Amino acid sequence: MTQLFARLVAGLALLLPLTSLADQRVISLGGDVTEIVYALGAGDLLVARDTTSMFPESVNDLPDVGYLRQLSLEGILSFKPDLVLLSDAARPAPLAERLEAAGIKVARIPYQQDLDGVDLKVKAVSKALNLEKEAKPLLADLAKQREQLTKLIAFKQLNGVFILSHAGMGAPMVAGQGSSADSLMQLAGLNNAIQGITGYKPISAEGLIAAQPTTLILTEAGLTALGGEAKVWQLPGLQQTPAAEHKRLVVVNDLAFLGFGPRTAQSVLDLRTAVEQLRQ
Amino acid sequence: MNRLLALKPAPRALLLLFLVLFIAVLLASQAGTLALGPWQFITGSMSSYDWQIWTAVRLPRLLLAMLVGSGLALAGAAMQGLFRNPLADPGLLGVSSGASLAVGLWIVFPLAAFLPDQWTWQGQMLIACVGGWLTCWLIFRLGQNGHGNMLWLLLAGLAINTLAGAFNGLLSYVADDQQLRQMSLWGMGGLGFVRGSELAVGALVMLPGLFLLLSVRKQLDVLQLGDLAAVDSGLDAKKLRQKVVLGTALTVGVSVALAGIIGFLGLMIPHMLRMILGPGHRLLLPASALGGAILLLLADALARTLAAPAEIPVGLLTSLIGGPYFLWMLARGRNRGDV
Repeated sequence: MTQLFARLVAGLALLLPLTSLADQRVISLGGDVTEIVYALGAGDLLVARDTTSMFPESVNDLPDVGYLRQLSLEGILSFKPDLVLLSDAARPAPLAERLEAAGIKVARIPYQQDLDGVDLKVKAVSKALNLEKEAKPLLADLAKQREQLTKLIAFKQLNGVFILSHAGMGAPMVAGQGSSADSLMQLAGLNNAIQGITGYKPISAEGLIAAQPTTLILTEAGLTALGGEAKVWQLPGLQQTPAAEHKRLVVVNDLAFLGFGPRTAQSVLDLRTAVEQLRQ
Repeated sequence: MNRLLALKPAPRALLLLFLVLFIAVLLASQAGTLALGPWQFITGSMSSYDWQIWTAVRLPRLLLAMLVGSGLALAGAAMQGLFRNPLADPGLLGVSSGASLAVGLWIVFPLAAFLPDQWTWQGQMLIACVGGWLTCWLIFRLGQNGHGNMLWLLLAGLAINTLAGAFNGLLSYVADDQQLRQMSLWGMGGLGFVRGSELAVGALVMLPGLFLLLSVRKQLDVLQLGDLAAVDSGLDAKKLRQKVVLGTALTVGVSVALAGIIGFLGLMIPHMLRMILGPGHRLLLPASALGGAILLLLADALARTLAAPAEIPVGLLTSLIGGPYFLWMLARGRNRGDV
């Protein structure tokens, strides 16, 4: 309670500099970047977003200047922004330079897809928006969540399999070594049942059986694409796994889990809780 | 108007195409997310910000659309003439897929990791161009084994297409998510990010290619009479082939480098114009160059406006227009029994 009060006071105190920012026109490019802008309470500054910026809900009301990896220079310029928050994942590569040539301030936000990267992103965004003080409670929360994660004890016999998506036909794509879902599973204390595959790759039915996963992890969109839980267990190869036998399925939110934004650490903690509950 | 009608059909057709091109330029210079163009210019309602964007963003884009459009259509028309096959097209011969294989390698393997961002971009352009040229050279070498048999050359192109396609598939299998996106987006073509300086370098390489292709238009007409007749009239078929292959390599290599893969233009424009103007290459080649410029200008204007403020890859649009048109043409041709 006192913490909440302290934050309220801090927030009110910072309304003053905010008013000077209020006439700034900002475009946020990158779903993780946009989430951070909102987490800092600066969502009102935004005049446009990219297609991957889908959270929070209200950001969808803003005009969409295109897909992050195929942005249009003219589309961005047409909003006459003062500042563009540009994820390093944005393409084409010369975008930043071309925007700067047009006299627009560009803040490059690092694209580092791990939990330390989230911190770097928050720092870069808050610096660009002059909201470094507002960022402090957010950074403290993130640090606390990370600490909780490091204290988790790894499950001994739980092997997870993360299925990225499955667009109807063909083999399902699983997360192998070096993929972001692989590192998140490990953070949650799960072993990755899939060994010997790097990145996200399609896997055969036999490969799934051989991996013997005890827990299945899907994203919300993945579950919808597969047509609900009942259909999931009928996937070739999955039926013969311990995960199907005990019906151990955890569904994570796509953007929160894989976005490496401010919600990712909490999403991993939630995954852990869900897995613990399924075990009982 | 009377004077226009008094002209011979050939100059009249070209003049008309020039007129249409002029209108297309006016239309395309207006179209886009920002309301900019001659009208704003005339009425003086252009701010300095707008003016800066018009010169730095839209003008290079218009020029690029004209350059690439005319290059692809002209190369297509010249190849169809050379192979005496209405299906010949730079894409069909494997030039685009050779270039895309080179770009795929560039994206997937971290050769460019040491380079600063701007250089990876220009490096990608260069590599696309080199990939296109290497493929042209390979096709040409393979074709020499066929001793002037055009079908041989066409089959060599087909084999290269298949092989490059397979290697590209392999690359996309090992690529990570980001690289995959980058590769597939490159394959859809786009005109949005070319700087004036890159355009100038591209034009310097491409213009000689355009002139080379235009210079063989009469010989291509002779070639249509058949091999024997061509030899009788003193046509050096080998030299002609060299010229067309070199011209195609220069134009298509630069097009692919600057704009990615833009499909169907080289096939559609010559076919369309052949139906209107007849098969003579003296008229068809320059008309195709103009027609290609017109179509790509308009297609790019649509690409910019249909999903504004976002953009549709222009190569998707040309294929969307070109594919159905081609099917329609095939269906029509079968009814008439002449394809």
